[in-house]
Amino acid sequence: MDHSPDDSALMLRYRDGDVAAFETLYRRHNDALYRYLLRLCQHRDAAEDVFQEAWGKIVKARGSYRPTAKFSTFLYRVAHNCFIDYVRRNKRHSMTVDVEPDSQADPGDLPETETERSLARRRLEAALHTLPDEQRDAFLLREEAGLNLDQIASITGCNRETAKSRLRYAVNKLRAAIDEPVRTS
Amino acid sequence: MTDARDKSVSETYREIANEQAPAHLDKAVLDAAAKAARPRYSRLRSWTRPAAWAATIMLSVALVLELSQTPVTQAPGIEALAPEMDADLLQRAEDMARVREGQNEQPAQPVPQPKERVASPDASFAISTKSSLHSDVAPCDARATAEPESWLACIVELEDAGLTDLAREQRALLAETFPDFNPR
Repeated sequence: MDHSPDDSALMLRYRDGDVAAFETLYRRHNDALYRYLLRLCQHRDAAEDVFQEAWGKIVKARGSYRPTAKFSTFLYRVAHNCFIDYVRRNKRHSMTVDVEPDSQADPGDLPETETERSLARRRLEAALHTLPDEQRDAFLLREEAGLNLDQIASITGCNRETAKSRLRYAVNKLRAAIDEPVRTS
Repeated sequence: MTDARDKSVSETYREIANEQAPAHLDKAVLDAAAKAARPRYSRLRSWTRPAAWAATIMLSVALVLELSQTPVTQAPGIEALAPEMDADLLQRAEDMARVREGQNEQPAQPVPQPKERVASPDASFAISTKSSLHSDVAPCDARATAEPESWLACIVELEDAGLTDLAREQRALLAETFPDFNPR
């Protein structure tokens, strides 16, 4: 039986001055949030800036925090809004994709020792970069934050059906990329 | 797939999603969180404001008490200066009498003219001021001694004020100066 306090309880303890509670809360979410922002921003420096800004807002909002919703929904809503602000500040966001050099490599150029699984991972990574922001956002919120369609819709400011549609399109595109047959020269 | 979640896609994503937040970001966020959670005022500063209020109230009460217990004092008025004026007037009158007596010892010299005696504006001012304060003491300044009637009136005022010696001397001077005048 898990006796660890839930996220909202930790946030309330931090509101009352318990810094250790915040550290526990941070350690639960820091890596997932970082990955979410890293793939959403597609640029490491930008992801780090947005990551820090989002946590800064969480810290600042501790005094007014009310556990009316799941903490992860609150956290990812803040992060999502910080990302939107970042995009508005940097109009050239979509032109400065910072991806791993070999992640978009042509599968046909891969060495023969590359396994099919490794190839699938590379294709998925490349396909993620090509997704529209809204679809990628929905997919990452599902995978990294574990949110359901209602929560995704709430965070991204759309209705449930739109969120569902975006997620379906994203998954279909990614699956198609993974299943794409290896081109032979 | 009821919720558009494809298991194979999810599994493949989990294989690539293994990045961790950099240590410098962890440190920056946790430091900021710890700093924000610190009380805004230290223990010393928490006492500063109440102490300042207490000091202000104590000073105000002390000031009010001090003002309420101090007797009301007025600036010395013109009445307080009157004795000094009397002394001054008497001194001037005696000086004038002494001068007249000295003149009497030298009968060849002419009687001092009122014009010369006007040369002392300070004395005239002092005497006239005294006259306004004590109407019962008449001055015998140059203007008063210019005519025997006015001089006599001045002498009468001196007598009324109890300055009999001075009045007597003034009468003698009047008789010498205006021998034709009968003071009765």
